[in-house]
Amino acid sequence: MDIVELKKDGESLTLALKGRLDAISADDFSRKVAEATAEGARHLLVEMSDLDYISSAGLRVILTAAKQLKKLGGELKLAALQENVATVFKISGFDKIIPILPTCDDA
Amino acid sequence: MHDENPRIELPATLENLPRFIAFAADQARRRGFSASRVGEIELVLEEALVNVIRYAYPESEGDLALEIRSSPESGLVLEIRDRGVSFNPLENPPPDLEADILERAVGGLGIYFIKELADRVSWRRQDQENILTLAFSDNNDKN
Repeated sequence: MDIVELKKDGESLTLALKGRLDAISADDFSRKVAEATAEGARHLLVEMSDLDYISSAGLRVILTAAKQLKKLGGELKLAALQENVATVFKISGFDKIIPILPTCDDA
Repeated sequence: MHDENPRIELPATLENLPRFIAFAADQARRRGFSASRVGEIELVLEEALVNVIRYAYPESEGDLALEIRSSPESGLVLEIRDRGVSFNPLENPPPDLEADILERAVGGLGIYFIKELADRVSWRRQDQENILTLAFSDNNDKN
């Protein structure tokens, strides 16, 4: 999985995830979020149009990041999910607890 | 013929996970499964294998075997075997899908995905092996 920084503006950060967020790559995302919050990021938008796959290990780190940002007074939002990734969010009920936007422009 | 079923056996480590997944995905594609159903099979298999990798061999190293069979009724059957501690993943309680974000238990979802996305799942302990059998048909109507 690749993590690309798309936009940084004060406390707001937009990241793009590309590839697979799974048991192998989940820690990479956690590390990136830890770095970003240490540098002051509070509002994180994750663009997922090139994310092809997510498993429970990926959902786990997304949820942990969402909780962490909420505690810091910020928020995690996701955008532009592929259909199969959206299905995983729906089955798990995560679509009800994490804001999911059609595109980054809706943020 | 049982002997001719595609099968791989590798040490139960996270770094071998992609090899198991690629092997099963290739077998599903060869049987004509749609791309979206192959993705679901990959997800179920990852969840099942990660359980074995994390919990089967707490104090030693061990192997994990994946065998692929065809079945007339469901199309594709994956059989996962390990010789680790006895563990029936199907007895795990389901996650609370309605819980608030800050209370929500982080975990338990893997087994939930297995039950939701496979057509049939069964577990047995036999000759000191955990044997998890996952059957898939090529439908996407379960959701």
